[in-house]
Amino acid sequence: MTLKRFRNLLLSCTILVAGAAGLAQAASTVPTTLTNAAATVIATSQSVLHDGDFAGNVYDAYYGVVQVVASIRNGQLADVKAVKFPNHSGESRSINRQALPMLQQEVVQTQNARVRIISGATLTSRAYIASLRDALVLAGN
Amino acid sequence: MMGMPITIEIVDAPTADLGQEIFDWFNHVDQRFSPYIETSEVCRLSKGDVSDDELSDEMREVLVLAEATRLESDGAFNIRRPSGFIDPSGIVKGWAISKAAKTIAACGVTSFYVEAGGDIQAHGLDGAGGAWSVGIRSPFNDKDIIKVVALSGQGIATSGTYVRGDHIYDPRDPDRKLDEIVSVSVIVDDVVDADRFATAAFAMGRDGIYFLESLPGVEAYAVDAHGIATQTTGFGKFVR
Repeated sequence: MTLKRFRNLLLSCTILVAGAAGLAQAASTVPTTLTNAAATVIATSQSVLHDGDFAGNVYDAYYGVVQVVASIRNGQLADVKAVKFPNHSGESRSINRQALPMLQQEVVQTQNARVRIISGATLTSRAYIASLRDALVLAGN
Repeated sequence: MMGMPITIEIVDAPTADLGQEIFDWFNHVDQRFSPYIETSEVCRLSKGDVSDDELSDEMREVLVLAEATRLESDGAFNIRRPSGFIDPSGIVKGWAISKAAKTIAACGVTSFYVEAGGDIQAHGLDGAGGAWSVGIRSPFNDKDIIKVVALSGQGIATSGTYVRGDHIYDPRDPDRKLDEIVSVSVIVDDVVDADRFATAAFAMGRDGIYFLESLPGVEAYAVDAHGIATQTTGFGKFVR
């Protein structure tokens, strides 16, 4: 499980780099350190992680600046937040669509709050299928 | 409707008649649009038993909306199966809820929600005076909630892999296994838009959340098979 989470952290870095790739032709100061950041993250993932929130550097993407904060809990990556977002004027929106904007990611966590209504891909749930399977086994005996 | 449970909660001035009218409406929609009812208009249309002139106004409305969505999503959303069968499930549920909510609102009711098969339109405030709290179900365990959002004047729809078996597929590549993204929840003012965009985005796999990010007034929360969620920039304003 831990491994999968790190793989996904890598993925989010890939998105950052992808966002910066479009920058190469537009700006002279290409944030090459982005790839260094990804490398650092990989290196860190192979050693012991300390709990806390860790902010990355601010990087200039042509649709705005991006900075992420990684939250480590119990030695595992629990959350990655983008703390600075690109502006969302209509124009940057259409540009973003081409450039894959950095979107906030997090590890899903079970919530304990009480809710009134539930939205979900519903009904033909595992319970339903399991029950049907039981019934078919019984029917087959 | 479509074999799904339906819930209606009306806070102010409820009348039994209104509730019955809404349930009758969902039953009517099922009779017309269900791919599982052989005599439904949608089945007769698939088989070529109905000419264009004979189509009901409701069918026309759904077909127009489906075609608009197909174009908006660059073909990811398509109610026409490779077999030639027409399956409007990815849009009819939201459309029916939206109509039901408009009927209720037209009766002067301001605080209520309508839910059918996990898609919701919520207006006004709940009985305790707050926005309606809606839990997004975990795609990994149907007893768990992975996010709580507060809705008042919005609809939410969720598309996922174990909704009703495999009813979602990518029409551009019918054999592609849609296993990367397991759940996409979309919040927008009208639940019919939430439903059709959730269906389209789910069919797009990892590109889906960027498609949703590009749509004005649309916020979303997508979960992948590893339990990593990606959200659109404005989604946080709904999170409790």
